[in-house]
Amino acid sequence: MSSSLDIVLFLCLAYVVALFVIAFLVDRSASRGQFDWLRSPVVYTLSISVYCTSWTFYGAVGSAARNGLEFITIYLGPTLVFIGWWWLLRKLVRIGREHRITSIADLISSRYGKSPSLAVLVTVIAVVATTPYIALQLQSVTRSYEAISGGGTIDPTFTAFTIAAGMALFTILFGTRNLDANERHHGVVAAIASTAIVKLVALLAVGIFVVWGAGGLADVFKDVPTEVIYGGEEIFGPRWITIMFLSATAIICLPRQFQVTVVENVDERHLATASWLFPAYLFGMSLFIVPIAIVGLKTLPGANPDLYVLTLPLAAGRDDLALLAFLGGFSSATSMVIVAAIAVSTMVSNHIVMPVALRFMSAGREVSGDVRRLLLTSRRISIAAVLGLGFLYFQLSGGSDALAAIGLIAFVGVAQFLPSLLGGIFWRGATRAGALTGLLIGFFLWAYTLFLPSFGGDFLLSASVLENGPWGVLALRPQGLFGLNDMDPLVHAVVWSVGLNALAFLIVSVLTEAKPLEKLQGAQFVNIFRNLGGQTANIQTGNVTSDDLFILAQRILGTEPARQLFEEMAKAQGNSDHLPHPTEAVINRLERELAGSVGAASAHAMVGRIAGAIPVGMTELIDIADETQRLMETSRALSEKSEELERAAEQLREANDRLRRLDAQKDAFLTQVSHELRTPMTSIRSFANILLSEETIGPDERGKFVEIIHDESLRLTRLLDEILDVSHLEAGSQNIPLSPLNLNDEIAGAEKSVQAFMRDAGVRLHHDLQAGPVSIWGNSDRLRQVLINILGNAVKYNRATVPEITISSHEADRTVLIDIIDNGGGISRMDAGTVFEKFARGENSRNAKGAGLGLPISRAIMRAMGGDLTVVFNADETSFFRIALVPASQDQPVETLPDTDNVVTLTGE
Amino acid sequence: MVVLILGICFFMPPLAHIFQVDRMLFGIPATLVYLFAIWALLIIVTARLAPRMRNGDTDRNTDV
Repeated sequence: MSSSLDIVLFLCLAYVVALFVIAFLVDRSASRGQFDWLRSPVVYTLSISVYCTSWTFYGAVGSAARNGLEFITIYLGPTLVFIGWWWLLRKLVRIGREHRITSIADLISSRYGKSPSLAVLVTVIAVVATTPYIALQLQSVTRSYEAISGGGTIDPTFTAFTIAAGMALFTILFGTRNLDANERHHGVVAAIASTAIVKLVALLAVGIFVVWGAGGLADVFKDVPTEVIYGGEEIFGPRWITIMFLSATAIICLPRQFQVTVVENVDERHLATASWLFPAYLFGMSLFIVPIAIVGLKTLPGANPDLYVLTLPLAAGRDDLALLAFLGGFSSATSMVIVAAIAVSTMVSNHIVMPVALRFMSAGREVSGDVRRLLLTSRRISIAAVLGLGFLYFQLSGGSDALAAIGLIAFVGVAQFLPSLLGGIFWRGATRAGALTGLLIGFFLWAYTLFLPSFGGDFLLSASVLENGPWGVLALRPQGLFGLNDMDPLVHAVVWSVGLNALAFLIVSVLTEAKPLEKLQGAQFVNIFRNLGGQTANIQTGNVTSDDLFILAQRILGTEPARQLFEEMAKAQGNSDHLPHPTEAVINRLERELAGSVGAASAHAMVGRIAGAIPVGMTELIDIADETQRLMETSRALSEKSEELERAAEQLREANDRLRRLDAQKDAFLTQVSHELRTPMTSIRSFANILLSEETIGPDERGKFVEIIHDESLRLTRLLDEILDVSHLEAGSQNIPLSPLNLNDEIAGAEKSVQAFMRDAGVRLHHDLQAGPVSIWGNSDRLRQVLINILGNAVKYNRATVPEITISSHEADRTVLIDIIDNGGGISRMDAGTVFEKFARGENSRNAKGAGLGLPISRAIMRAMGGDLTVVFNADETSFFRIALVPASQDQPVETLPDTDNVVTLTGE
Repeated sequence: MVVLILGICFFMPPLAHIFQVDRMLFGIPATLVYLFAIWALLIIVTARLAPRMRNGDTDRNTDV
């Protein structure tokens, strides 16, 4: 069948290329943010089917041929988990997301106080359990390749090596492209989901062909002894229960299952769909297993039952179907190896390589360079190493006969995680010491009772030890511990390893006291649905600086993501500055982000070292869960309250300042008033004194003196009137009635009043009334008073040889402006700040008459009318007065706020 | 939850023992029919319950 050899090779290649293309396209669209179809629960469910390896594809038929119905337990266990343990899976997924869990080792170590030793132990168990499993996949692909190519032409070692290398390449390319925040690999998941379809279609096609090729179901089962179907006297015995338990455990604890179910989960709700769709997938996968096995036994006696799926179509001359079946098996093997390699390499690099690198870093942090690159490199090397180990195992074991046996050994290995895992997420009393002891005992017993004996006396345990126990002590016989001799080796191993593991875990947990961090993590894991943010308050801010944290984040996450993260955190703090304050929240957030890349234990160690690593004290963390929650709420309430207090104090301080300023102004005002009043009073008093004491004054002089006294009294009265006016206006106690006025009428009226005065001074008046006869809100008498005052000032203080005054008006944004511009240059910038103060006069008016209350009064009037009076400076430092009014088209205005700035500088005019 | 307990009961001894009989049903061994029938039933029931799980789930999230 060498002609089909080329086709097989070509198909394999084409298939692998298709996987590459799918992974590449999906990765690219995912990086562009197009996730829509990736987020479908169907893709998620299909990716979980990585559970169905080539062991399932080929081995299940073999198992059915040898042990009858027993194979079905492998599927019933996961079915029960997905159907009923929805709350367990959901809890795992939620914890995985909240705590940025990257692997099962990460989960367990993170739960027990981010313990590095636990992480290492779990990683080691995972590697030891996964290696034979990978070897198994290599073996099945190699054998199926031999079967389909007629065998013998190609060295199986070469085939296996090529496959291992190809898978390593794929995994490295798509599994380590980036250090994603959550270790998600969209491309890989999509590729796995497509292989899932190939598997199912291939197996169903072969099944249908076999059954209906043999004349229908009834014919298949005709004359079949029940022993073949039941596989022995008692199928529903201890082995049945044990395997069901193991497969249920495996669907949670296998590193690759954990990877696709928990780590790669994008939406918790997908679990609801998977809860029935995944069992349905398994249902479809196992539907035709028994018929295929029976037909195989009938028609191909003596052939390897593990390869019936392939050899039955071949024997019937259906090469196309055989090719499809081969591709199905190839898919199963590929997907398992890829995901397992990703999962295990993540553990190895995060929990073994990183801690070592960390120690190296502590010698000289500056020397270490880019941790990110180190991490990716270590992950790539880990992938190659894991696959290399698998290949080596395949070579050494020389191809053990029963595929299913290796699979079950791996299942028992990972089942050791179960007590620590379940205890960790449902029991707050579980401690690190308990988990460590349980895992160690379980791991040891698994190796002793099942793993090492599986080598049949070739590796570490000799055949005589297997037969008679070490040192001839029968009670310690690996497959008959303490007299449990008549048990099935698998059941025996499960009972001892998982049983003692759980027991040790419980007892040690009860006896030991958890460290504060463990308690905290435990409480958060157990109460994951009650916690709001998954906060891990565990590092005191101590003497950490933002710079250090930023450098660390840059190293792990890369420059750009780190910058974005820190900017976001700074913004959240309301800090426009580049770096956020190193508060506890910031440190915890950073630790969580880092944990998504390097695992919780490493992230904790890194941040801890920078932060000075002071774990929280015992006192704060007694009975942590509810305590922390309450503490957090209380402290939040407290900080809110203290912020409120601070705000109130700030307002008080401001009010006080304003009062003090006003008080000073009042004092100054009083001083000014007494000074202004004093001058006329002095002259009145002195002239009155002269009139009283000097008898010799003539009537002419006397009349003159009396006139002076009269004039001064008038001036005094006027002054007092003005003072009263300004204080009333400023206090707002004098309500000025407003009505719509015609602007031009008011300007003309005011001009008329100062006409004579202007003519005397020889002033030329210009108009530029762009606003026209617009209607404005105002009080005619008061507005004219202001206009007259300003026009008067413009005449009085103008020192130009030919005085000119321009009155212009125009409408601006919701205001009407009147500018009174004279060619005298206006007032200086220095004066502009003070002209509106009472009794202040501009420099030009030092010796002019008047109390200096005109402008303050004018301004107060304008403000009372909702407008304003300002000094406006041109670009050439000349200035003019501007009156702002509210047009009558607007609502009737209320008083303008008093603390607006009254000096404006124009830039473009 | 109930589905899980039922499932465990049906797939475990001693209940499964009852169906370990040497009879044929539609030309197929009865035990095989039994196992697959229960399996299919479980899947259908869960598929029916799945939307409710999803919704009940969000409710539970908000009040705890």
